[in-house]
Amino acid sequence: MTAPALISPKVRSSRGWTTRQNDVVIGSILALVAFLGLFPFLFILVGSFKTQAQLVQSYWLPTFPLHLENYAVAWEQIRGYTLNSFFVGAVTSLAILLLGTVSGFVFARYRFPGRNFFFVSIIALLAVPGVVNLVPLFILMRSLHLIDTLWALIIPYTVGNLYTTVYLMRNAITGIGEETFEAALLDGASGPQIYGRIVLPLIFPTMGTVIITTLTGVWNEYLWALLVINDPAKRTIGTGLQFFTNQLTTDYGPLFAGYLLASLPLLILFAFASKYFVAGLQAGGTKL
Amino acid sequence: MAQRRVNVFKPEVQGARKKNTLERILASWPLYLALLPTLALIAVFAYWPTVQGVLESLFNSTAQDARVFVGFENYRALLQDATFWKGFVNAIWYFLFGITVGWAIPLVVAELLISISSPRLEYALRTLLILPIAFPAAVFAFVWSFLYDPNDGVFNTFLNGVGLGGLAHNWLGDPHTALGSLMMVGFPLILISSGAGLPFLLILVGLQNIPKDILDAAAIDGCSRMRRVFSIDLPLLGTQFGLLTMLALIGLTQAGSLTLLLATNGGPAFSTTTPVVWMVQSGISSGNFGYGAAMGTVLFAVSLVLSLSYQSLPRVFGRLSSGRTR
Repeated sequence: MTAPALISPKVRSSRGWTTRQNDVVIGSILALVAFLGLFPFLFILVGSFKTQAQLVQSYWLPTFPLHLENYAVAWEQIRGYTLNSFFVGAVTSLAILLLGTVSGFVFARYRFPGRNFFFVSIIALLAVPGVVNLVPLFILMRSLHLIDTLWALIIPYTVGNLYTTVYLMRNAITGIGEETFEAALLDGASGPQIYGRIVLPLIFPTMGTVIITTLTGVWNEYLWALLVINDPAKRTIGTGLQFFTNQLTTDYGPLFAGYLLASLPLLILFAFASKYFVAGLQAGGTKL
Repeated sequence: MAQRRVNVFKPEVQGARKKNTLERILASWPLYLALLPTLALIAVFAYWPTVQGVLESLFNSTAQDARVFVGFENYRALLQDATFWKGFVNAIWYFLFGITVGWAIPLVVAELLISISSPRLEYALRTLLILPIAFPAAVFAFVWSFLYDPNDGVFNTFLNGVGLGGLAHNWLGDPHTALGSLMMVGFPLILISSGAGLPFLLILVGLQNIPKDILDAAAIDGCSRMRRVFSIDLPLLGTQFGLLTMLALIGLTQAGSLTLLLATNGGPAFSTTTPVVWMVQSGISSGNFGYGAAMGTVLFAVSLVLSLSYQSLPRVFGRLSSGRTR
């Protein structure tokens, strides 16, 4: 973006290299690192078009004809898992956004008895690692007869992401300029009006971060889903892929195709919103 | 964390400060109503299970209707449970791997990346380097489990191909290599066992945020590139490494998903088990909830002690160094 105005490509660095030579050497090293990191997925991509015979005959290189039907076979098997994960991700995101923005707004803009107590009692949960509750939460879900329903995933995922969201939303709303609210109050806007017409549009970036954190979290979660979902029709991506892998132990073409299809939603998210994606990962990192 | 003071709240709420507490509570009812769903969810699905976990750990509840109060019997059994402690040892290996290899590779790569002068090349390489982050964790795990496959896997096929067949191995099946193989998932940059790319992102952002005037001043003083890493970058990355340390410490009590994905029973020979894996196996799958709850409570206590002692470290060091200057 900013052109290096003072340093022309001819200027020599301390090593006696020109900046161009410098870029070529460092660039090659980093390209090698990037290649190593991506190689497993490239191998899967190439392999997903092969039959078992083609894989044996030519392990490393692409072979022709490409067997696109591998993708059809795989999709047939993982379609249900993908749709379940989509449903869980959508409901969880909506619930978190609604609860998180309303609570964040109340904590950021109002003073009332118990405000600090309630806020601290939400934030304190950031320090409680999720695994602590694994056993009692399982018992609770069982006594509510939610085992083997998608609600056994949606409710804990929502609650687990809520603390961070309330915290992020409160900070984002506190950061909105005071004069914005003063002007709205002078115009006679009510609380809900301020929330809907002023606050929500101004915190879109934070909402983007929260949605992406939630979706990647839901897509990646495995441990809890393994415990509460036994019904094959209710499996989500994590547990579903494990079943799928065990089914197709040596039929690598469709197996690889299935892995790529299951990755597609997150890859698309990454392609269109990599800024929010990275911000979301970092926000997730601060979620102790 | 410091509460930002906002002076102008809604005028009527500010004026309400003169009323007594009860009147203020009554006047604020719409606010409580707005918070109710969030607070209720958190009370029922976060606070109540935490309390119930501690209570449950005092019972022997192999079957839900035949619960017997056993006091601290579960905790006594846990102390003698070799597998649980084996899991802790494995978790400590994860931790040590994470704070050495798991930080060194991202640091070197990030330093190299910011040394590139062409913004377009830098952008392209950065995108390719972090692209694997976009793959779901389960896909990551299963793809790597294929790489490790003893018969058809990439590693053994490669070793056989270049005439090093003697090094070919049943990577996940041999107790000597299983734990190490799990740690290496995602090599080189996006190591799933140590933050799945988060160390790289945090270090890179930290390096990019170093003020330019500091670097200019150092350049005028003839500071070499290597010297810059140790005298400027590392000290200024303190916040990032603090956060990463905190996460690694918490990971000590949380690790387990990777083991469950790749080495189903914490095997072979419990070589890859972690406290969480053992809690799932012996506490939930076997139906002995009281025992599982006791493990959960111990993990909670351990993580609390770790994070509290970590947070008090700077104060202790601060006191030590100030004592020295006096």
